Amino acid sequence: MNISSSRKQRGMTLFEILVGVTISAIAGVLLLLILVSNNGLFVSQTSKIAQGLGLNDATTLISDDLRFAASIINSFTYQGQTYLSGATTLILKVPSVDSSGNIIDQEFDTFIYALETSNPAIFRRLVVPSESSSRLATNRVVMTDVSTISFVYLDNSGAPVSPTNATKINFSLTFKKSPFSTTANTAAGEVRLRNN
Amino acid sequence: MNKVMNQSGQIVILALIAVAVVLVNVLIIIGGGLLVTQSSTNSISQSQAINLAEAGIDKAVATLNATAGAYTGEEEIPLGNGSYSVTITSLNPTTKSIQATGYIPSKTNPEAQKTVKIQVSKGMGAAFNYGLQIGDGGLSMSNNAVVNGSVYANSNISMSNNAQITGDAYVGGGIQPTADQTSDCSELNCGDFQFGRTAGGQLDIAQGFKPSETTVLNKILLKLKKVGTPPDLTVRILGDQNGTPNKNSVLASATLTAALTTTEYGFVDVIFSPAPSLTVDTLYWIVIDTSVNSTNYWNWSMDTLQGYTRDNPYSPRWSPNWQASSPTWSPIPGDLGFQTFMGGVTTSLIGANNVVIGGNAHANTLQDLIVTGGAYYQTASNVTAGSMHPNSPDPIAQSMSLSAANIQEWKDTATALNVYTGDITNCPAALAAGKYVGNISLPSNCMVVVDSPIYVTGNLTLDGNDVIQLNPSYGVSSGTFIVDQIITFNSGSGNKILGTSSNGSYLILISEFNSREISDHKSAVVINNNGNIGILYSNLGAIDVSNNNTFTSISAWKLNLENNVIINYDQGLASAFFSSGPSGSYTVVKGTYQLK
Repeated sequence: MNISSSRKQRGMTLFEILVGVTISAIAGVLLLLILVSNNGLFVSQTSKIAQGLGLNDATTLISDDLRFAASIINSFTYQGQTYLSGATTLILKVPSVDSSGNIIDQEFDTFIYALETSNPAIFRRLVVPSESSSRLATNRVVMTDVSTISFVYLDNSGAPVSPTNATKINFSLTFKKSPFSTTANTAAGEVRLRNN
Repeated sequence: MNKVMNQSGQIVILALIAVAVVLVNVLIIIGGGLLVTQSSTNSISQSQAINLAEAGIDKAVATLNATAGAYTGEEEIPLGNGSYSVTITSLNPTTKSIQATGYIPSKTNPEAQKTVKIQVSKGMGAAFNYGLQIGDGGLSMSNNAVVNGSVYANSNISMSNNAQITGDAYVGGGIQPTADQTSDCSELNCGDFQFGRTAGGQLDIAQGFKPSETTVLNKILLKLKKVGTPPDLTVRILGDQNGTPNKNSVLASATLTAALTTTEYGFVDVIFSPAPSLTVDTLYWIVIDTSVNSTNYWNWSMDTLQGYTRDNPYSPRWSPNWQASSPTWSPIPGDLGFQTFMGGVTTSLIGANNVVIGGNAHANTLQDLIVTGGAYYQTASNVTAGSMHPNSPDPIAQSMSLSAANIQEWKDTATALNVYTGDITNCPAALAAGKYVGNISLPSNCMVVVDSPIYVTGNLTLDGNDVIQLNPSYGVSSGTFIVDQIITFNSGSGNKILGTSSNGSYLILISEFNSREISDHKSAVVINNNGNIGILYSNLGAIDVSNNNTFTSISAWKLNLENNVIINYDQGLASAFFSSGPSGSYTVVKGTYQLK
């Protein structure tokens, strides 16, 4: 009885402790690695998802505005800032609409797509309505974390022309690479100005 | 012993927590991926719905023209991955609103739907892109004359003291005044050569010619008419290879704008840039390249007597594909209607004291000018400019905004509507659309509301303070008032030619008098002093505008602006739409496209 009791109370041997600690350490490290790796995958994939959704929205918005546009404006000054149509800025002359959504003859609103001067990673769309237009003046962020924006101005034959002579626009939008990601998310399109 | 067991349980719990975190993350990633897929699918479906709606619009325009306007739309028509519906609403006797909705996959259970709305009207669009557009006769601006807009002249511009052009000024490289080569038919010897209708058939057409001098070819005219609404044509000048066009020797290429052609034969300008250099007495080919469309195609006027002999022994040809590896060319039993105009005439923009060009100046020779923008030239003297661009190529000559065929179609429409005979010397309250055989001479202070088109075979004279205004029922459409002979605004001053009160509506006063072909170049339009307003157009005529008048736009073969004349160009003229009356075909009214 005493022998048995003494056996039960006997502590773990040093070897047993070392084996236990080693196994625990390996299991902990493996768990940590899985967590870190999974966290990286999570961050990169959620970033890709957000960028994918952003690209879809931005592409649809720009395409619809281009379809509706009558022409490209070379330069436009709004709230003290002068915008020039070019590779990263697009200024559209878009028919104004009344409260019923119908086009007002020979009245035009101005849509500006431009990168923010103070933070060129942010791409904005400004709507500047004419006096009689029912559109609201808006200033909306279209994309954040922008890497590159490109607008190419083309004529009907697809040859590059100056912005004011363009009848269709080729555009591409690229996000910055997200952390843990090896590729950048890009979308592109080409739209003819239907009201030109 | 309990302690030992508790410690084991903690490891398991930690492992379970780690697995749970990984599982949640994976599920979130999978969910996000599905969200992106769904968003992308939705974007694609929305694009497909737009394309279906636009297909519905195209179908509606074609069907309206095929059924003389009887088409009223249709319910769900399956096409590709979805379907479309079309609704037609008549806005007025010549204008309809078309609303087409595209559905993916179907109207009853749409995952995506988009609606496109547009207006069509019987008529045609025309672009007046310049405050002044001048032909081969050139432009003269006297002291203090001002053009608030841009100017394009196919011949010399001379500007006196203090004259000003606030926009760009272009002087095209000079075209010789008479055709170098001509082929045309007369009466019973005229036939049609149809092309662009049948696959594998007469798609690419070639007419040979030999120039009579060695110089550049600036312009050709082709005698065409269209059936339906075919697309623009590509016209090329090719070298010769054993009596057929040499596909490896394309010397020049240009686009023939379908809008300048009508359903009646007329010569239509094709201008080449850069102009090809041709050699005297060498055979070249005018080649028209078109695509297949069984309802929208072309006819080229054919002289069945084969009166053009400088292409002998090689008659015109047709081919199913001129770019095939070994193209086959079949003979055409007649010569096709064309004219060629050679260039090589040096042109200039010459100013005087304090003559200012507010934009860029483009001409072979620039002299005595202050140019705010860039000066583009071969030769320049006494020119100050924002930037100098020597050795710049001459601008190419520009076609006028309205072709002879366009004007002839309006005349035909007017003639088909009504024909009135006898001079009008009183003040009618209104003039219906139609042909007026005789002269119209309005007394002072006369206000006339007109429909469009008006075609007067004689002269038009306005005494003073007369107003001719387009009927308000035309809304945003524009109208034409065509006079075969001389238009005179007498010294009574203050005459006005006006569109409806809607923005974008204009009434264009057109003289068909040919100043160019008579020795003294008698003016087609004479505007006396003070306060006259309007838009003037004369393809072949000279226009004289005396002191102190203000016009919106003038197009003429030759123009003389006296002292203090002001041209205030209206941007809306770049997209004018002309109602042509009941006989015209439906075309889309520019600027009415809406996506909902």
